[in-house]
Amino acid sequence: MTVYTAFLLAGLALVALGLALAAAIIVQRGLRQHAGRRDLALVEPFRPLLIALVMDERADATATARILGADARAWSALEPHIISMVRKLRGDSRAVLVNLLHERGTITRLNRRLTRPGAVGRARAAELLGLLGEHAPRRDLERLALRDHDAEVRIVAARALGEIGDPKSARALLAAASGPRAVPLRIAARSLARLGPGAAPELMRGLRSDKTTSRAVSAEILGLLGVTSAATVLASAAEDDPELDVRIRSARALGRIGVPSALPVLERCTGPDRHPALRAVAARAVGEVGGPIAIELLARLLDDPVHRVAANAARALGRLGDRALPALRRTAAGATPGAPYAAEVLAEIDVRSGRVVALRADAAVGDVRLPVVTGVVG
Amino acid sequence: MIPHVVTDAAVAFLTGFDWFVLGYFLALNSGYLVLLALASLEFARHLRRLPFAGYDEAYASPLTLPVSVIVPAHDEGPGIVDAVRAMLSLRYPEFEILVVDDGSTDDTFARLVEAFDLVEVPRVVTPDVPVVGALVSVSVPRSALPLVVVRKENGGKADALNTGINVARYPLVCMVDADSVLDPDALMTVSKPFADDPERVVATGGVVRAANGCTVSGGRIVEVRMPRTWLPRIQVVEYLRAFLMGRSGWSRLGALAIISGAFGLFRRDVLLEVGGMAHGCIGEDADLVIRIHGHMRRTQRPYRVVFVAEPVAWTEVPTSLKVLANQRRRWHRGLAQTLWRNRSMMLNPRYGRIGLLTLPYYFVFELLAPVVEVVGVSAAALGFLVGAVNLSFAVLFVAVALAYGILLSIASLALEEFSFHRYRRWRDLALAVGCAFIENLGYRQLTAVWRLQGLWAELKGARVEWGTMSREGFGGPAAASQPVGSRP
Amino acid sequence: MTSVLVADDDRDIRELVSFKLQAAGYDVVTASDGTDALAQVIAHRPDVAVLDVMMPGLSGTDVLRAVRAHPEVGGTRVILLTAKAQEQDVAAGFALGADDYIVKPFSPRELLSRVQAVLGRRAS
Repeated sequence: MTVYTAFLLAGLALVALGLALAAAIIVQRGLRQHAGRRDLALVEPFRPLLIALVMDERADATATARILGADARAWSALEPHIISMVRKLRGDSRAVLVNLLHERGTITRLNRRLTRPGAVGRARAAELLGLLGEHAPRRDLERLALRDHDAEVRIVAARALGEIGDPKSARALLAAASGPRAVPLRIAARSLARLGPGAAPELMRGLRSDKTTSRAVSAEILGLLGVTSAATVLASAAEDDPELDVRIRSARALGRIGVPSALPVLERCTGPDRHPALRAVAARAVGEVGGPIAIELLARLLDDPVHRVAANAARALGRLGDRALPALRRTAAGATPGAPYAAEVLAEIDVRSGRVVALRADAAVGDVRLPVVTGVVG
Repeated sequence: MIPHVVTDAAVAFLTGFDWFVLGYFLALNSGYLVLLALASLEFARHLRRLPFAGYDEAYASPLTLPVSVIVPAHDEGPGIVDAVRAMLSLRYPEFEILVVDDGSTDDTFARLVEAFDLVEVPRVVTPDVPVVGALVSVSVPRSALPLVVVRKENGGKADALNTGINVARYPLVCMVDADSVLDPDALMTVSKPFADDPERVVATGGVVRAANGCTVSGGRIVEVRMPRTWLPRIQVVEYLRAFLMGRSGWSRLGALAIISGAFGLFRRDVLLEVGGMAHGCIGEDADLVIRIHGHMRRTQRPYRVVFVAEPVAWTEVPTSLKVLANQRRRWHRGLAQTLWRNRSMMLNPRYGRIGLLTLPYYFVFELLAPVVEVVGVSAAALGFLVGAVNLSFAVLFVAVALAYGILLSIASLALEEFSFHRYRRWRDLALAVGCAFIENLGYRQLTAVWRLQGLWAELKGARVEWGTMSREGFGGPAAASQPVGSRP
Repeated sequence: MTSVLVADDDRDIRELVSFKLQAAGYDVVTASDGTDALAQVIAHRPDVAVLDVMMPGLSGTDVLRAVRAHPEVGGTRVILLTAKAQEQDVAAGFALGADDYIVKPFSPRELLSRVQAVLGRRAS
């Protein structure tokens, strides 16, 4: 009976496989626990040395020598341990550890791994090199961020460049934000922002680039860095750039920089003929610039038919504090479409300043409960 | 006296049917095996990349996309304060917690007011997605905590979620069950695909596991253990096999159809485009994801729905047979409704893998599985009675089918052990292996009956009954009758 | 002798900070989770508590809230140790009554001077 035999064999094979898997589970767990204990035992003798070395914040020659003299087995357990300490520290304490890794050849080894075939290996090396900033091969990482065929490696390399924070990387990071092998805009932007004001000249050039993403990233970061001298260029970008995304980011940047000369441009960006997304961002930016003219403009925007514009104008007024209160109260008391928006923000201000009674039973007596208008706008 | 011709025909039919059932089970389990293999590739990929995931960096970045976490709550009084407190301490740069109190009849709202010192405020809410139950009030805490509590008239979970979507201020929206215990890094983990592939990722989900038996402190899991009784223990293994491996496998194929209502992250603009959650259906979480697939395919935009193979949420599973039965009936009804509502996508090449692979698979191997299982077992028994099947063959057939099932459960355990190994005690491991057997010998057959009942109820068009479960609560004696959780 | 509680779930940080503070002449107690931290504050009455925000069990802010609400140890100086750089979180920490905060990754030397500053503020 062949079918019968086939079944029997299949059944036996399944049982054997099941047993093998069960054995694998047990072996795996045993090995993992053993490896954990072994690494711990290897690292333990060095821990007091490491802590003393780090905390004295001066390289103690004998401690350094003993740690560097660890045999290959101990070092393989010690190295990840030192790296995890590097992640937690700043300043001299961190530098002491990075020097240890440098002297023991970790950095040279990681450099070599940047060109290995496996994407995971390259990404890991790039991440660690970013962490060990001062000795990292900036140019190799830039090449990786721009040209590696694996998207994840490019992302990790771009992040590493931000971590290292050398303004010279600005050009590469800007370029990495566009093209067929692009790094996501937010990630490139974050790294550029970490480079600090030194990146500003390159970003100003980026604002005139013919690539949309370069202009968008440049505008965003010039705002985040608060580069005052970029206001003029950003103003013209906010009005005239052919791409909506760049106009929006430029308007936001103008708000972050906060120079009053940007107000006329931002006012035009809130005009009814502009895109609602731009108008909403511009309204917020107007509030960040502030001043009497801004308050007047925002008070008008409260009555805007577009929800996002009115809501942003209201919140912007809320952030301007006491000077904006009369305008908010006036609108809230009226019957215009802006009234519920103004009321919402006024209530929020009162809540935060403790001027309103809580819903809690034990709250102080004598406070006046605000009238509640939970409006719904079509 | 029955004529020979008739009995011969009956015997031939029964034999044929038995072979069909055999083939079906073989295909079903082999489907699982393929998903398991895909899941292990996915896990390996994920784990190898963890060291450079950059969570710390994303955490410190002012450019990380902020998230609105929507927590629909209906009569969640006993656990709501702990749940909200735990959610407020999630590790994420910028987020708001939106509790939507869906017409609770208990003290859910009063407890929140007490714990967070809430104050009622006016708020302009735009009806971006349709809502049935009217908004009653919006409250915020007096401190600077990023919490908003919305009260509305009862309209069901989907309606509460839609209200949340309307109130949400941030571009990403996370939907969480009020009884989910979240990992502190849950938002970081699940939002990573949005950061790495912002152009395409529209929705992500993470692993949901059974919380029973685990030590929960301050709304967080501090020690993972197997539950103390057998029924939830079996579900732990079942969750690993059916949900964790299944979802990871489908995600690897780029054809993930379900993101659990217990924890899912979505782009708000896409939620608005598809009109939010659908009212009046049970499996609203699966329905949403399938509609998102349909929408993105119809508008011909490149997109991805991603499952992150990392435990992010823990949920209490039923401890009594009665509650479990209700839960499974409801899940299966939800599946039937979801497939029916999206039937135009079934086998439609326009919808790519989701239409040609996922939906047909769910129809044949999920929806119809209990039918084949129950009818198949009956037919085999009948076949044995009339002599169409010989005894040793029948026993062998059953044994092989069971061995295959047990093998899959053990393989899932192995995968968990090789990847996350959250169950640290040897005792828990031994229990899990024991459960791998019980799950296949009895438990699955039992769920097949319940699922069949669910399907039957749906076909009859019975009124939707919301299952309730009495919670044991974590560590406290507080017990309340509450809706059973989302499918993980 | 002035005493400091160091609460962090990371052993490295506990040991590094303890070492630094002990070298500067402080009496140091440690805790590895929030629940333990709260118990230690009540049992040992340290002058300063350095609390990590992200701890298993109770978070640093939970401990801070509990300490401030406690009738006897309510006046303990608290420094939060956080990986958050966002303004709103720092503001939230201060709103709860934190005396200072330190952002991770941190410099041990800076931590020591913050502890000294917080103690000095009380002495004056």
